[in-house]
Amino acid sequence: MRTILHIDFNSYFATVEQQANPRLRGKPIGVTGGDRMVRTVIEAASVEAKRFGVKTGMQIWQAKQLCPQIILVQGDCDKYLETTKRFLAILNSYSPYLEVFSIDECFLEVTGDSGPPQGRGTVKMAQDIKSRIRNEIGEWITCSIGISYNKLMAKLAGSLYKPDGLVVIADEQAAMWILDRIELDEICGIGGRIKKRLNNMGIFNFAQLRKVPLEALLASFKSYGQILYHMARGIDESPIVPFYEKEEVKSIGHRHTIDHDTNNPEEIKQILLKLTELVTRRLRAKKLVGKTIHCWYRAAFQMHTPGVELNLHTGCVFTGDDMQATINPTQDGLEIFKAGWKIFNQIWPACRQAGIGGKIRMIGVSVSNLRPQTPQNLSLLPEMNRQETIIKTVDKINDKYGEFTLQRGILLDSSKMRRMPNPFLSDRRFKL
Amino acid sequence: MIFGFYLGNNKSMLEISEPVNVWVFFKGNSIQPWCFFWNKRQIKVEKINLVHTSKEGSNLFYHFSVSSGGNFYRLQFDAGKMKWTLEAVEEE
Repeated sequence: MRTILHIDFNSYFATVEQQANPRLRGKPIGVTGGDRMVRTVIEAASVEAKRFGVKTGMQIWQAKQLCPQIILVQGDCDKYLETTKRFLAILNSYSPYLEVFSIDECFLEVTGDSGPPQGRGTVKMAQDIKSRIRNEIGEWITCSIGISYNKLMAKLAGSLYKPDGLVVIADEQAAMWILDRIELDEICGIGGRIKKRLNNMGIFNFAQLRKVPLEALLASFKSYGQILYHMARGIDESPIVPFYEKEEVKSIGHRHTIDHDTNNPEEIKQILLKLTELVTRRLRAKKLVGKTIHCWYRAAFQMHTPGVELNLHTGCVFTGDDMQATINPTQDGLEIFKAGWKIFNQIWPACRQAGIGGKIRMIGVSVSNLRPQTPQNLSLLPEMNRQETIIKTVDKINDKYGEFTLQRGILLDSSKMRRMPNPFLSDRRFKL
Repeated sequence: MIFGFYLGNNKSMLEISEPVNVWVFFKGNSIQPWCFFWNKRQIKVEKINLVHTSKEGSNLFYHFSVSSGGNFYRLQFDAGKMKWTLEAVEEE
């Protein structure tokens, strides 16, 4: 039998802020977006704020309505990444089979080292991990640990008691007992949509889900039906994917929420160019080139005009068909910008028709279809070689003195932008 | 006179960026602030709550979130220029 630990840090960003500043401890705090306080959401709420109903992703005004005394703290991704690196180093000392699930969550397989999940050795190891985190990172940092015989059940066990919990689901019998007492969407892998579809089929709990034949689930959910079939029985064969075996990224993208609504093409152009510069910096650092360009935007919020048919999705994020283009594999910011701008001009009219004057509040660009950069023959055009030399020199200077120390003239008066880490750390490999 | 600005709605937190003199000691292979001088006061670091690093280009900065007498301070050490800055203060 496998022994897997799921370690989940409680209210992570907020707890790290409370660790850094003891004056925030015991108070309801909300961590907001990195470098701005307008048009941001609650990225993490402290345990105290959660008691008032404040949740991650909530608008600031909503949070203030629920908890007027909430203290808003600007997020600092460097602080959180450093703390993550430290707890991963602690966990890695117990087993090399460590899978980073997100910035504050991971799985650790200790099969054979400490006995079965319910064994004294495993529980002692979990207690030791908790105590090392408190001693080596900070006394305010707590985590919930779930121990079980597979990843799915370990994650469920970890979510049953928060904060600072330690729950063991020893075997399939115990798993069934717990599954029969929880809601369908309490398990990782069943979200609101799947729950609704299951409800429409007359399935409201795991006991009912177990009675559905595999064929019926496959007919309704295709290959996901098999996963649901296994979930209801507490089965999960998925292996631990250690951080050093993780696949490279499939796409690289950035988006930016502007602090005001705008329909000024020059301003939008400037933001898009800056985003593509950030994207291509990462492409060049990873020695990759990409050929599929994807551009999207979020329209300014306004009541929907009756009679106007929109190609917009919930929350006004454009999700039309013309939002991607293919170009020659490149890592040049200007080339990607040109393709992105062309896409934007194709999809922008939908926003104009909506009766909001084409105003947007967010724009994003990404590059996919990535492949390694190969040594290229020197171009016959001297200006191409010159451009490559310029890009290399600019990268070198920015590597040494910081992002956008040297940049295109048109970006000089552009708004400040910072690279923020993906919360799932998809493009980061930790050096432990 | 202290110049600074408030961020968020944490009105007692003052974000400043003021060069300060710091007495440090070395423990193991790390540097730790022992006391610093600010606003004509000597402030003894009672507890280092969290240390994290950040980078600007290739320049490395160490940030020390510290407590003294129930107050909070964040000190920054610029490893490239070997300079200390007081970044944030939250006092009674």
